[in-house]
Amino acid sequence: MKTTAQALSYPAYLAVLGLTAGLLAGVTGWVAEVFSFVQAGPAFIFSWFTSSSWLSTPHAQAAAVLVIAVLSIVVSFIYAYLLAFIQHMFAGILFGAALWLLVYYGLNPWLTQLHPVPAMHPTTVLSTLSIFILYGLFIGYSIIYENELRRQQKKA
Amino acid sequence: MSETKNKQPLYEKLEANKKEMIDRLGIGTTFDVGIRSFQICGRELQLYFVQGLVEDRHIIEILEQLMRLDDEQAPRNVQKAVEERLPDVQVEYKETFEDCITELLSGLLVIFMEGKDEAFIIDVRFYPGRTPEEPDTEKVVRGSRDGYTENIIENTALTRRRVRDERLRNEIMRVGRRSQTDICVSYIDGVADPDLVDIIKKELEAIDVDGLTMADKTVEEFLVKQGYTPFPLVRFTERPDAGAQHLFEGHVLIMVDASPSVIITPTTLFHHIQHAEEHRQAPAVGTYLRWIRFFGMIASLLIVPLWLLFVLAPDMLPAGLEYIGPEDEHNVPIFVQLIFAEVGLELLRMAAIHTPDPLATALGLVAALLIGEIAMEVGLFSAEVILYAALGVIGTYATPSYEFSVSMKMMRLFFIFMIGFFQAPGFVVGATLLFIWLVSIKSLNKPYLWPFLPFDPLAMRDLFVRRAVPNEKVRLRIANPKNRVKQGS
Repeated sequence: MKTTAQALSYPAYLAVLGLTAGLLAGVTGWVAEVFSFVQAGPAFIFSWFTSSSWLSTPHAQAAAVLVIAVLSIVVSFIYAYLLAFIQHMFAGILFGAALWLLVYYGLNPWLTQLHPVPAMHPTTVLSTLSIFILYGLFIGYSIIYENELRRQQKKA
Repeated sequence: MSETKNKQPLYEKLEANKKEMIDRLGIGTTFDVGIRSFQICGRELQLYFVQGLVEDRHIIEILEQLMRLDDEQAPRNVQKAVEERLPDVQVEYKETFEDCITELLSGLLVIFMEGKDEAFIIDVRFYPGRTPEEPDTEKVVRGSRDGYTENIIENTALTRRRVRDERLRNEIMRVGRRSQTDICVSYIDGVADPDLVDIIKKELEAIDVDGLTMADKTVEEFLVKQGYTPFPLVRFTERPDAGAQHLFEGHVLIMVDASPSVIITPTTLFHHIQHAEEHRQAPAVGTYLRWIRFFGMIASLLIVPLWLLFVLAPDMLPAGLEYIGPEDEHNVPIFVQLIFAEVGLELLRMAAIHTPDPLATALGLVAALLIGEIAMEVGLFSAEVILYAALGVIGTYATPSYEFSVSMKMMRLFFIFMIGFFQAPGFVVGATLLFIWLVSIKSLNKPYLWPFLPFDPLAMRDLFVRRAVPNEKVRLRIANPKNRVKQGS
């Protein structure tokens, strides 16, 4: 019986998951920037190398979304192999929050387009934190559930 | 018959049986339970029946057959002769008063016989009811027009017409101490998740309630432990084709007698935004309809709150969209206007439900002319408030699941309040918390937002693209089907 018909292999699943998470988070960040929920769109990741006016063009934002999507594949693998042992959806939320702390406090000095957190608009802080939390939840909870399903299938 | 411990067995003496029955059922006080006594070959027989639930013609035929026995030579074994003469498909025996009374009150004929501590039970039921009609809430342009009715037997038959699989199981049980309502659990053995079927049966057996007058809704509240969640945790359908389709997918149907709505479980949020109409059209058209509907529902949820946000904080609008926002002078704050509009529309909808048809036109006039036009003219409402409130309502009506559309209205009101009080931060925090709450909801151990979160790429694709049936090769994992490959045995 072909029970695994059309099912994705585990690494393929993680890759698609990461890619989707990155795309969703990136696009949400972009839309949030257009409607001034956040001060800097996803292109802020390029401010590491450059601070030209190119950063505020749609091309830069779109490129940033793609880069985030690819980076998210790595994030999803890291989560699956290091953190998936915590089988609760709040692990994902905490992971997202930790990621936000890393970017907005840890990497902030290098990302010149970002203001220091205390100087940010409160809406920006809340919005970015929300996007990161949902991003972490998306990756974390999906992996936990997928692992659970695969365990059940192996048992059956 | 499984637990005969607490039940009282029948007597052999007919008189004792009669006394007990009269005591228990209050025959004589209540008019609708009748007794008919007569003699066959020197043995006395008693017929018990409930008027209105039995078919008179059928009973007369039984009596005729039995009385003909009297004209013939007296048989040696009267009991056997009687049994053979009963012109019926189903003849059962019951030994206790409790069983007999339950059957009697279900509309079956109970026959006691002198010197016998068993009763014949004959199915002569004829319930008052309607014939299958197209359900009002799930109409399609093309497709079958039959719908489930209030009769559970007809409902299983309507399903069986579409699923002739020998492995279709219809398990029936009685729930409700006083109502003794029939509940049927339908699933395809070998496809549905056996654990799920077990859980459902256990939950149903554990229901301890006087009666299930609200039928399927009451069962739902017991089954999925709904609590104060506004979101519908099971999907209802009145269409036998939708029910049969879900059986094939490995879902479990729960039918409750006296209700035309059948419960489909397990259910996720995304089951509430699909409609049979999509599957009656070409895959491309179905996909198109689905996208338009998704868009309409998201718009209905967000357009009013976001518009309010941009009215309150116009500097958030990007260049080119500055025209958004009311042009005219308004005396009442937009936030308050929106609350009025939402509450008013809801009141109108509620009024429309129980307005008799002849008065509905008048109600429509009041709604459209007086409230819309005049309120604008006297400066109570801005024109745009009416426009956006109406847009929101249209999206709600395009939602296939009525239960879900009502919960969406509540979410919209929640967003309006969050934005009215806290503006952008309120919206962001509100949306995030709502989303996390939705993610954490589980209905019968299935995550509510699946396949979006937990993410399932293949199921997600099937959700956004209505695929041609020949290409749908596997059953979705949400039902945890035992056999994932469709068309497999």
